[in-house]
Amino acid sequence: MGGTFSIGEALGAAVRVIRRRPLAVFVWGLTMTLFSLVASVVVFGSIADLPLGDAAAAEPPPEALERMMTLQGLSMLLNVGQLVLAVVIWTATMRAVLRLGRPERAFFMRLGMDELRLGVVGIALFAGTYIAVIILVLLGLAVGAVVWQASEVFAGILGVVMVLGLIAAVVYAMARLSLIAPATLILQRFAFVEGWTLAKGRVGSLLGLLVCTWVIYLLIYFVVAFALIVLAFGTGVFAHLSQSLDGMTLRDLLPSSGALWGLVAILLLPGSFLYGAVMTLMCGPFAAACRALLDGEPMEAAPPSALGS
Amino acid sequence: MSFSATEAAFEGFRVVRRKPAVVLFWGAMYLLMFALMFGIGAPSFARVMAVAETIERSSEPSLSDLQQLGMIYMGMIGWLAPLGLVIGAVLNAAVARSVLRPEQGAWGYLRLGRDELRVLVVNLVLGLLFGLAGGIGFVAVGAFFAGGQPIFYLLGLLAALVVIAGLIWLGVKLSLAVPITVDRGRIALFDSFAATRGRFWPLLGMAIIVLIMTWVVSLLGYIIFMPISLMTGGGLEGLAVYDGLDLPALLTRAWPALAAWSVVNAVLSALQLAVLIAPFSAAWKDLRA
Repeated sequence: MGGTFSIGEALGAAVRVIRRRPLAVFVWGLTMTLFSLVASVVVFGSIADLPLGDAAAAEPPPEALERMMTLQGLSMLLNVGQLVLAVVIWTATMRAVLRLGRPERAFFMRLGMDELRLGVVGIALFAGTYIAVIILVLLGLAVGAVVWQASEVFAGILGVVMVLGLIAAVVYAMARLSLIAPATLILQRFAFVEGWTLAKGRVGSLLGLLVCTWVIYLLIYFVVAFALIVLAFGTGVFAHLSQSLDGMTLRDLLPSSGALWGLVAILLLPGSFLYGAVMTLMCGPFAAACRALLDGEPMEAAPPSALGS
Repeated sequence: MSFSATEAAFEGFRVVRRKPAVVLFWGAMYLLMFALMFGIGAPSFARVMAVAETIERSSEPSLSDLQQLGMIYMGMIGWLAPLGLVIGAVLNAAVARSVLRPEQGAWGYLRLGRDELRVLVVNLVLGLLFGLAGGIGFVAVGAFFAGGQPIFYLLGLLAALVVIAGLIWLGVKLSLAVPITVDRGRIALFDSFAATRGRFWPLLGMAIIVLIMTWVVSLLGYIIFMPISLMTGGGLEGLAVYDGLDLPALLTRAWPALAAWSVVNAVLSALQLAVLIAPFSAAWKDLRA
């Protein structure tokens, strides 16, 4: 476990997946986008005729409450489905980076022990970090309150220091924990200890990789958000919304069916590919870095011709 | 004398794969428990759901509503606890047996003998021990918070963390008590302390993995249960509309919802039991070797 990894090579591994398996990238994004779209239609369909404005202020009828209870259950169900799909796609992106050039089926997507292990790892890391942050925030508030009694100025300074310290601790933890999931996939067992040990002494490089993936994500996010806003203005969706604000139900807020289908087409076609590419760029580099560190040398994908793909 | 926490964590799945019929047998035990629960106390459940719904809908629940809910719960615990203890002991012993003596597979490893009696005693003592330790600890925490000064809040928070850490430590140290009791054929409550010496962290890691896997199983079960529940009248929550009916009238009207809830939950609970309990028996099996 004494190897090194290159940030450029790790990012390059994810880019190679996008370049050589664009259909798989599209399918990953499409799976998530389609599910989100169907979920939105189901949820919106069940509340579309709920009254808005003055009508909503009146005491809701018992049927509306019953419908809201059903919707709550349905929404939980959809959240669970989305979580399962997210784990499947997360695993697929890392598997693609690790197995690029080898024979593949179902666009690297499976529903097996790898996915179960990664689901558990994801939940453990998320819940563990969440609990640790809550405890630190509570302790910080209590310490701040004690110091506040002695000196308000010092308490203010201490508060700023503690917030910065918390952010630094979370970022450090993210870098240190970032190899646990890929190590779990590569080693085919829960690799909490191995992933943690592997990141020891490499926090700087892993932090660099994290920052690179965040920058790429933010760049794509801002460009897409800007394009969508321009599109919404250009197609008159915002104008329609402002005119429909006095609508009686949520359904009245919907734009014309043409604009709606246009939006669905954008989400499903370029949107899906973009979603898949972002997920690959966010998750794939850590798999490549982990593989390189476990191997002791940077990993190079096998040439497609050599493996018959 | 070593064990792999990540290997042991999957023992529940292995038990079910080795002998899938255990899900049916253990599910049948849960079904028996649910039948007794609803056979005796369906009106109490309807009352609980009705009061809970009133509290949920009200923006400011009244103290009397909360007291009423507490009283109904206390009344139910009075007859649910002994039932749960007996069936829990039978099932815990069965899971331990399925790992430690896989050859004794008749009746899905279910028995009603001395092992079960010993496990019942161990579970009872463990329950009392945790209740007492937690109770004392949180009373002390409450005393700090009652101080009303920031310094006491800080001390209370630190005390709460210490109490939680202490309960987790105790839980891990006693986590092998049931498998050791079944394996050695005697009440071996504190042998677990010696067996877990130097293995606290792997066992804690295994417990966390196992808890998350149990949660994942329940989430997947929820995906199956939700549509069935909606089709048959909304599960237990749907009982609220029958509040005030006597037992025969309630069972006549609500049997589809109760039956669907019971069958799905019985199977799901059997799977969760295997995933949650079997790893500790596997850990003990590896450690005693």
